[in-house]
Amino acid sequence: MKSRDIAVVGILLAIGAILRYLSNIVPGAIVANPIIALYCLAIILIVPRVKDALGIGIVAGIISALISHSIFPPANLISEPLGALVCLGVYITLRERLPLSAGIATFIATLASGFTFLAVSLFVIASSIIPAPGEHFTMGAFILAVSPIIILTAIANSLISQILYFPSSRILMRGMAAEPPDRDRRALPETGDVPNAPMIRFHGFSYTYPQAKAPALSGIDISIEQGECVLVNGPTGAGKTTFCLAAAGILTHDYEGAMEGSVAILGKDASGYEDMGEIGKIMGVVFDDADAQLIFTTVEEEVLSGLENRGLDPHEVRRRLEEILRLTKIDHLRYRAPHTLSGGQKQRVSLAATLASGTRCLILDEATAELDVEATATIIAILNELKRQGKTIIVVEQKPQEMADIADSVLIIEQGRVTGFLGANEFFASCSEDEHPGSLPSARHAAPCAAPIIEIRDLTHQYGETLGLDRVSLNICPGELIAIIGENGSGKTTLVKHLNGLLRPTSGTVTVSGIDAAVARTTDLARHVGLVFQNPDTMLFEDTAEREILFGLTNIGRDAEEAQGEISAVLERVGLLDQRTTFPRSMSRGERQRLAIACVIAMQPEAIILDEPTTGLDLAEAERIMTILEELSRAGHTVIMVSHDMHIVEHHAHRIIRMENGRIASDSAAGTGGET
Amino acid sequence: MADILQYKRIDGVFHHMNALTKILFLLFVIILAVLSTNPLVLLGIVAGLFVLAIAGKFAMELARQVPMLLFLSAGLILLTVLTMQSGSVVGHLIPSAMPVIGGHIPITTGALNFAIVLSLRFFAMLFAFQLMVISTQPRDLVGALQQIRLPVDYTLMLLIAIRFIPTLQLEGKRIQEAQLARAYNPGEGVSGKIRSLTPIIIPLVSNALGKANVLGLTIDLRGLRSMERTPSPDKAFGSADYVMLAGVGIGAIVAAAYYTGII
Repeated sequence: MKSRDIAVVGILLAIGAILRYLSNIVPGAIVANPIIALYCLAIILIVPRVKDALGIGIVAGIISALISHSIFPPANLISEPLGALVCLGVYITLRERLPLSAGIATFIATLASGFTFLAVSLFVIASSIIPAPGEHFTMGAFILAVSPIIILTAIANSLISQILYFPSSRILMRGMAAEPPDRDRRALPETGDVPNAPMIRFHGFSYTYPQAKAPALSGIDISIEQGECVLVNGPTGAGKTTFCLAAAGILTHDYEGAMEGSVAILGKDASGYEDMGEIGKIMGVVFDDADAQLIFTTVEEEVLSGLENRGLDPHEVRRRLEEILRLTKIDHLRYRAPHTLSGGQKQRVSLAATLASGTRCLILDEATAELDVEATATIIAILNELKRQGKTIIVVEQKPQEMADIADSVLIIEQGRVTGFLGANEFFASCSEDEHPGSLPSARHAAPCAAPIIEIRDLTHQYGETLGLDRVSLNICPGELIAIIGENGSGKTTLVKHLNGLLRPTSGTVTVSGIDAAVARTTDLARHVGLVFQNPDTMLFEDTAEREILFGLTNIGRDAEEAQGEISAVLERVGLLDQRTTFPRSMSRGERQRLAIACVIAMQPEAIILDEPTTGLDLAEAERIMTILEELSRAGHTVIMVSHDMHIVEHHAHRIIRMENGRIASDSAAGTGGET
Repeated sequence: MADILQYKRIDGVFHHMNALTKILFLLFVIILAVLSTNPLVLLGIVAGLFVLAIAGKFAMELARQVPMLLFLSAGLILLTVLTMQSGSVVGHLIPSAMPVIGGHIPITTGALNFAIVLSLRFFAMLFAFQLMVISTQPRDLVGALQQIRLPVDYTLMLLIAIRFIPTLQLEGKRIQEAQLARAYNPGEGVSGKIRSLTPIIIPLVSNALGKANVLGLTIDLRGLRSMERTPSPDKAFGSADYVMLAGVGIGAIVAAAYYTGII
């Protein structure tokens, strides 16, 4: 079983556990168990060996038993493994023959699991108190009474599994790890860990993803020395992440696709290492999705896992744990669970866990992309210390200036090719001229308007004991383009969630287009205020871009036929008209962000709120988004964006509101720095 | 947000016990609950578990489960009354005073006794499972399961599932907010929950699966599938474990003597 398959199963079982918990609202001795749908989906997606299907069933049984509210929880330890085996058997038999094999396999597996659970429960629970002959306990009646629950659960599970199968399989097809890639390698001799060998040596390396027409990397021929700090720069989609995967030996070991040339790590061809576990002793990688790199349930466990796996003695493990927690400034977070951490904290924990493995080389792929200024500065300071310790560091970064003080060299990748490998001084000297093409736009004072579209008076919001907002008052006028800035936890998101009823005031008032947002339904406010979340994937679920836009339009009562013209117009406005029938999740991050904006503006709200609309985008894509927002502002829409990208804020916002500790610290027209 | 399968950091006696001891105790309670048909004995087991929870400083956590358990027990009693007639009739589900349909579905002493026994077993087993979940770090549970020969791949699945439950609950809430902000109104109640399934669960599953690649690579790069752990002194058996094991041993002997008729 591949590690990614283990991850798929674990994640789907987590969703199953959540659904299972929610299903406890159904009273009865035998409650519906949607966890079956999710483990069946996992089995259908990864088609494991029989032994592993049994293992999946056992783990599902343990989880079901632990959260069960049914008459005999341990029965899950028998029913779920059996259900898993039945699912695998039925799916393998039917997959080539029937289009709905996923749903059918889940239906039969649920019946098998459900009736097994019932039989075991009744045998164990009831056999000890079977009434004396002549009395009328009817086991048959009991079975008849609960059978409909099992059958209804089987129907529901088969629907869940079949509905989820299509999008899930498409998601997993991207970057599918499978058989070793097709290689045409100019292999280097396997020299092993050579003291003075480069940390990483690319030798005529090219790589093409499965089903892709053009190579993602082409003719890479560079060497990165031990102790060097390399900044990798280039536009979105240039191949920077693929470069990181290649440098870490991941493409060689874990990816399908066509590969030419070779990558050597410390003088030894990447394919000469036994597996990623062996390479993992040399290379550590911190990906942009910090959350996906945290596997344990507390920060301390996360860091300990790396230390304990190195075979150190217990005292040394403790000493190094404290050292790493201090270095990464997370010692105060040691008992916190991952889901309670901010994005910046997660990145630091992820970095700490990577450091715990004691690797000599660190690769950070856009590790600061979603962080605010303060959190980014903390990560850079840590990298500076690691560089001082002699680690080799490779950093992919959209904001190169952040790395000016620590980078030794800069590798520029465009369209999969290395177009420059410069000394850092040379790069930053040329960069400083380009980065400031002109002066900031002249200050545009936000003139007071007679009829504000949004009026906030003494708004206070309390999260339990914590004060989220503290007596905030604010007027926002039609056509304004406002940026709300501030550090994490300053109250930005709390403020904007009051504008569409996702949060209600603890005290104070919020009026939107004359409607009291404290009492109006969110679905009614959505006609007046649109919200685009930071991650566009939070809202996208349809098969095509046009259906995604139509979803919002039908929610506000528009006819699907009549809406076609509006869909075309809005797709054209965001530059996605040629992607009308494209599966949204196969689009680039920038395109998905534009589609999310299109979904909202199609509903023609007076105000549009965007949470970090340019995060994770390169400068060109960010400018494209901002051009759309400026057009909306000129057309009379009020645009409110929460952002920590000061370059974007200073160049595009008409008005900047800075939040601090739940209060408005400043409210100024852009470029003035003064209070309005 | 409901705490599903989440450990609570409390400085109590159960929290200091080895996970294997707690697994053994859990098995003991399950077997005892299954063997017991006397409601008083079962009530004693439930009360004993509650006393242990007080000693472990998490009685409130168990107490929070009681309303849900009572609700489910009511369903269980209804089901039993509908399917079992044994002993004497004490009343009718549809009171005799009701015109035309009154006096149907008799409630018998046998059915009530059976339902009470089932409900108390239900309480005993769920309290025992809660005791395990609340007081055991997932990492220790995984370690104990490995000690009883569950392969590392499966313990990793369990660990990932437990780790991601709260994260995905939060993600689900965000997705629900995003769809509400698009004027989506699936309605209230069970039918609303069913209607909201597609716009919420598809992005939830898709986003979660999007993490699988990085998660898998992290497992590989950190060598987690080898799980060659340094033994940790704070997981060694302590005095609380020995007391618990002795209690389980004595309890087993007494139970065996009781059920074989020696006492």
